[in-house]
Amino acid sequence: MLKYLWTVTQDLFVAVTLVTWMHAVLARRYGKQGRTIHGVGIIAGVVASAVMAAVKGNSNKIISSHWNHYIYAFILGFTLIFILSSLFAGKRWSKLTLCLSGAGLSAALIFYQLPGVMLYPFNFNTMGEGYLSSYYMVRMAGWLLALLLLVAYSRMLYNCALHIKPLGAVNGLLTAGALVNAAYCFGRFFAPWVNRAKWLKWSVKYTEESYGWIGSWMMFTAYQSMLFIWLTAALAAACLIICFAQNVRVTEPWDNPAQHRKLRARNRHFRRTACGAMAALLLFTGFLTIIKAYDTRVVELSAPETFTEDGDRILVPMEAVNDFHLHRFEWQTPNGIDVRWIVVRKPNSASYGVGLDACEVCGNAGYYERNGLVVCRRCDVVMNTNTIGFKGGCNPIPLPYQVEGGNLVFAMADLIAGEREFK
Amino acid sequence: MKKFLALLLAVMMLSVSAFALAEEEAGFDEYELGVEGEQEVGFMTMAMVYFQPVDMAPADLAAPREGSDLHIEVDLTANENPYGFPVDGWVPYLSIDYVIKDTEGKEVVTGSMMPMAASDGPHYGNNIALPEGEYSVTLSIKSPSENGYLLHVDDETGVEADGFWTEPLEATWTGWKFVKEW
Repeated sequence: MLKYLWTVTQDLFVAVTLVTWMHAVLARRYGKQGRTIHGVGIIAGVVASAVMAAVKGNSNKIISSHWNHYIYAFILGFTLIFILSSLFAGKRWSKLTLCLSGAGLSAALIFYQLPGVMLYPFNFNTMGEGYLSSYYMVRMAGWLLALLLLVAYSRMLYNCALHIKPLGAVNGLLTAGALVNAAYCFGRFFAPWVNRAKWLKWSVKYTEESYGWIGSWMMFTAYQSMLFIWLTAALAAACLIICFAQNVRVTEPWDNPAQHRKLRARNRHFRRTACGAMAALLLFTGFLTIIKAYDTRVVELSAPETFTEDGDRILVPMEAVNDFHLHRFEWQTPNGIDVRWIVVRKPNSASYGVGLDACEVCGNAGYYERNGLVVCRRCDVVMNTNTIGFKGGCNPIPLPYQVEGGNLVFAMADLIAGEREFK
Repeated sequence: MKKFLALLLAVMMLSVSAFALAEEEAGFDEYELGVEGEQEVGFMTMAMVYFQPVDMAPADLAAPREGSDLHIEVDLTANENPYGFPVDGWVPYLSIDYVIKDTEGKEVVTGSMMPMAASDGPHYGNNIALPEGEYSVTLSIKSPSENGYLLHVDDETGVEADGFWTEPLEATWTGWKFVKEW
């Protein structure tokens, strides 16, 4: 669930903010006509995204990297036309170019991110338990909650942007946001070139010496991708603060107390809307910082437990591992390699799941216990406790043991044989 | 006006569908990893490539697509025949471990490649989770004997070599600028 709260927010936040501002600016400039043309752009973006998601999900005809390369070009082009048209907003011709470039930019922003988000529910890892499993449902809940919050945020931000004075303030925020996004897209646009993608068939190939700044900027967008989101969030916060500040007190003239009360009620409504949007913004900030950090944290392995050595054998008292929890042990081989192994008593059984703290897929990443389940620290796969001790796949590499005198007995030779997993 | 807008919308939708369906290539594009390109490693030629994370089966034998950022592959062929593997053919039964380091030399991800086949043939690979950034990748290639693969060594039927290599072969690719392009 947590994963989709922050991934959906991270994917869509910038697009939602810019599209919302664009809708407000075109509505304020050109009324119903501006809203209609931009609305068509939004619908076109959503419908095209749905088509793209459907084709992508059901065929191998979509190469995302190719499409993204051209979408970046469209975003850059529409941004440029929109900003240039804004500079000549008084001219008659600018109405058409502003509306069309605005609608085109919004459609491209939506089309860039939405197909991937639409496909998430079809790619949830349900551990083979299908669409009705709790694995699926909790992921779906996170995905839906993030989408609902983004829609609510967009609605509130739109109301604020529609009433901020002057129009130039919202236009300035939109322009700044579009430029921030364009700077990001500019770096990403060159990624296939820098990475020598063969499909581009460009005659000029990237080299550090000749075009180092392009590679440097691309890598800046890679290392600092969150910076572009935070800058957009800061602009959104500024929009909301302006809206709140402009509605603290009644500045318009009023003729009677009833009219005054009406104006105060209107101000209160906008203050509340700004506060609501700010709360959503803070929530998104929480998703992208605290929740993301928690969800992507590297789990520390629990400390190895004690055992006794008996000649060339290692003895682990059964009473120490009978609690159905994961127990980890570590022994240093004569070659100086620390070999780890795990023991967990199987549910409803007197037998034990025993294996090296490593698997053939993820190496010696190790396992940890989460809510009573054994989970791979590398790939987050939840293990079936009953199959721990069986060979293959994500299972811990089996380790032979014997039960003797109330102890689990391990041969040091078997641990030495497993040391290659821990080199 | 409404008819024009409806027409515009329909044209955009159809364009996307048509462009999508007109793509003749398969749905993935391999990216070369590192600046070294193909390398001679022992008796093999190796190249590393990457692209979007993929689904693999059986699902419990590989890292899942969810939570992974890319699929990393090493494509390799034998260019000599000391161990009996056909020249220009794929070499099975290898154990290949990888270490990915950032530009400061800090280990970011380590793991093992699994043998598998895609539409373009067999290779060693895995899905991995990796933040965007610049990296180097070092492979440690252990011999097939570690997976129970034997060689004929008698005079009549034996291969050229007396046995497999005992110390892992190593190869490093550097200057890999990883940006998720999918």
